[in-house]
Amino acid sequence: MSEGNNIPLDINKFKEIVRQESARLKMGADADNSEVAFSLALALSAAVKKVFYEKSAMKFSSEPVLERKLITQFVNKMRVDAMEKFNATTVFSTVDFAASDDALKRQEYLLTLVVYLDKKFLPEFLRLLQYPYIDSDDEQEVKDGCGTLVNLIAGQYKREMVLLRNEDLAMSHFGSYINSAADGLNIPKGSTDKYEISFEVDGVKRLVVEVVPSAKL
Amino acid sequence: MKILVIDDSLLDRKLLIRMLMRAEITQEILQAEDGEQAMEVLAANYQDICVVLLDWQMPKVSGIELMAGMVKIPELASMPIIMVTASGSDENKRLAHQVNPQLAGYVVKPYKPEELIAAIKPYLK
Repeated sequence: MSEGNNIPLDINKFKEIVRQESARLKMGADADNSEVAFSLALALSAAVKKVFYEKSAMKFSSEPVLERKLITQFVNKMRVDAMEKFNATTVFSTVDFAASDDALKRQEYLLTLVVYLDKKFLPEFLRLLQYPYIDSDDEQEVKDGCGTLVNLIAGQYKREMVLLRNEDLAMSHFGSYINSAADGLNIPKGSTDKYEISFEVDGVKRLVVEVVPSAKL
Repeated sequence: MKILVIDDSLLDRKLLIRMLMRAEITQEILQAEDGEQAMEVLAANYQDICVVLLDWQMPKVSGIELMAGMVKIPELASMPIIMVTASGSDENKRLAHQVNPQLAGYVVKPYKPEELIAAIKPYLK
């Protein structure tokens, strides 16, 4: 066909297909790393179970569900739409891990951990862990409460990492958000995917934790 | 018909174009300096392009990513693509053929002009 008779391709569709294929290629390139990422996700799952089994009478109603997912990135950060986890107002807290305190200061993260909870169930989770009552309508209390929970899980995860990899990682202070983080969340440089782990109580998804590993691990 | 040259190095594009002219290849040459720009050029000109010369390492969208997308689009899937890349590793060659089983050629830089011309010629229209 001669020039001028071209029916242009839908450029947006073209770009979307290239983006998807690019992600698929990166996943493939990371296949060697997938075993490490999976073991890190299993360790996180174990850490969450230990926190609740050892400190409360709460039982999860089924084994946690592990899913590997692509990260939605925005200017080297992870975009989060937390409400999609429970279709309800969601509080979430994050902690970063690095090889040392200095690496932490330089934001050279090896792992990022995120804990999501349906806001209205947070007081019950904390009560089961012997914490005092918090007001689920008080934003600051909710953020502090979720931060407390992520600290508990992250502390246990840190111990799991020592057992798993003989690495004593440095841990950042928590950051807490409700529904979304305007600027996105810090993640290890070059991360493309994460493991999402969902926990059910009485057959309903009540807690979601995510681990974003660095490709260096 | 036209030849599309996709390479982020202006010097490499010039070298390649001069080589095509010396070989008396008279097809019009379109250029793109990365995969993203190449998508725009391909979308607008795909019916006039007889062969694509594609670099691998490029900013924004790499050659392999672009090719992986092209083979999923029916209008572009059978377009002859010759990878022209500094990476001659067996692993990359294998990946390129895996992404595009109909890959028309894989030429490693620095290449001999006759090697590239031989790879291009069957696709000139």
